[in-house]
Amino acid sequence: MRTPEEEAATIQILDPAVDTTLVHARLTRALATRQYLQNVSQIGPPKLQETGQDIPFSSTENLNRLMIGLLAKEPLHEKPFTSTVPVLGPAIVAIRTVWNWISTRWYVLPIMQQQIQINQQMLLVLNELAQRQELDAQRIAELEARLQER
Amino acid sequence: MRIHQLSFGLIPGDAVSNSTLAIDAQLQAWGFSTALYAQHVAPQLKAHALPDVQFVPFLDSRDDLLIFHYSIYSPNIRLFQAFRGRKMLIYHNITPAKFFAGWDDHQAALCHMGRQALKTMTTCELAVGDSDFNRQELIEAGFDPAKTAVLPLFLTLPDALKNGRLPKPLPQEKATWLTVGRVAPSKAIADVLRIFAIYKHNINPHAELFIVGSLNVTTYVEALKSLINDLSLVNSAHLVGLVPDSQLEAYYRQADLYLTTSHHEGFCVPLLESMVHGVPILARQSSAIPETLGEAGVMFQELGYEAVAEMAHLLLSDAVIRQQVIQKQQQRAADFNTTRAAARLRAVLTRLEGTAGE
Repeated sequence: MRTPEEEAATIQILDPAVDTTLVHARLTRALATRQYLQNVSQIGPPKLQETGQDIPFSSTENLNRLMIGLLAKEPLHEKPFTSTVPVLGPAIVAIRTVWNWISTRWYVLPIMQQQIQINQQMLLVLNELAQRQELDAQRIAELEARLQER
Repeated sequence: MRIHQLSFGLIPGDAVSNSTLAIDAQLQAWGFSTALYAQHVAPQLKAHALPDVQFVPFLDSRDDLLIFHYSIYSPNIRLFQAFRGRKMLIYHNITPAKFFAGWDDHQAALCHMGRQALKTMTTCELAVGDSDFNRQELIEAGFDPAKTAVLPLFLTLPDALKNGRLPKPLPQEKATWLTVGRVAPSKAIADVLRIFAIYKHNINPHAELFIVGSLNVTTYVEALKSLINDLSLVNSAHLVGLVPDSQLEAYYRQADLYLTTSHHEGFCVPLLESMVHGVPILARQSSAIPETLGEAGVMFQELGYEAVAEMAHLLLSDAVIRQQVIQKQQQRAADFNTTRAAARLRAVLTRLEGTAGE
């Protein structure tokens, strides 16, 4: 907690034409006497209180973070039909389920299976690339260290 | 010698774009053959610039000069790296990624990549920063200090004293505050709002605040709207958004005070604009702000909301202090006028003429 004098001293005027002693004295007086209605520093969303934090942004760390996010995604799956309509709801769901089974399920399910396989394969490829990237980053760091020693 | 300028974008109202266009006009006035290229060219500026890929046929033009404006990551840094003639980098600074973390991850990644890529652009005849703050970052990134210089942002600003922009008198009752720039976490707009809230609720209930600048970091803008509500400023603090230059001029003309709490500025053009419009400046002492202000304006170090609000009150109520501050600012603005900026640009070109490309 700063005193009014210390608070006033945070104001800086470099122009020699301005009487900074007088400015600081007036600020000190105002800060000591005015009754402020609210303490604004804690108002508003908590995130606005934060100043920026350094984030791990090495290419491999970022890539790994994204990979973990991808792996955590659920594979594709069918979603059962639902209805919020009172009384008739179960009948609507039953009709839509039967109609889906007759008209589209036989067609869509194999495509979904193909897409699941593609996604899994893509994940493997990405994982492989991420690992290679990590190895390359390590090698570059080693080479840079050796260059520094020379 | 043909002079090409290359940048990420050419967008109306953007400081780097304005500088690129001003340099181009000056070079043409000196008789140089010039061309502008950018990855993104706004429809209004299509007559002035070409898509960056159209620079490819000139990559081996050893007699030409390429001026590359660098302010954000862009794939067209490859064109700069591949060019075989003389090269000059103008570094306008890139906001550290940490300021966007948790607000806009895409922007954070672009900023991070931009700063990383700077280290791969050190092969050039000259690298200049808009400020010594920017020049120091170039040296930290690995540029040869002997091949660096400071070239303040080249802008054609109206002359403060010749255009009738006389120092403004004290506001009668309603005090209008202004802050200009992209509404982004690095600018700490929440601090502007808190300082303004103290002034409004404790000193002058008739005050108004205009926040002018792009609102594209939407998560941050939403948090600010919530803060405006919590601080009971809904009818007095206005998030205006990006405006055309003519409207921006009007905001400066009606402003009684300019406040910036920004944590990171490579130069800060709004300070210059405030100077020429006779608007007293109250600014956080951070990054390149002290350098741009020189001895002008009023700065605050560690932020005390009440102390800054009281200083704003002094600037808005004491005619003597107000006039002294405005006068010093207008003297400072003269250091950046077109004549001096042109002389500095000419000196840089002369320095480049004594070099050879790859």
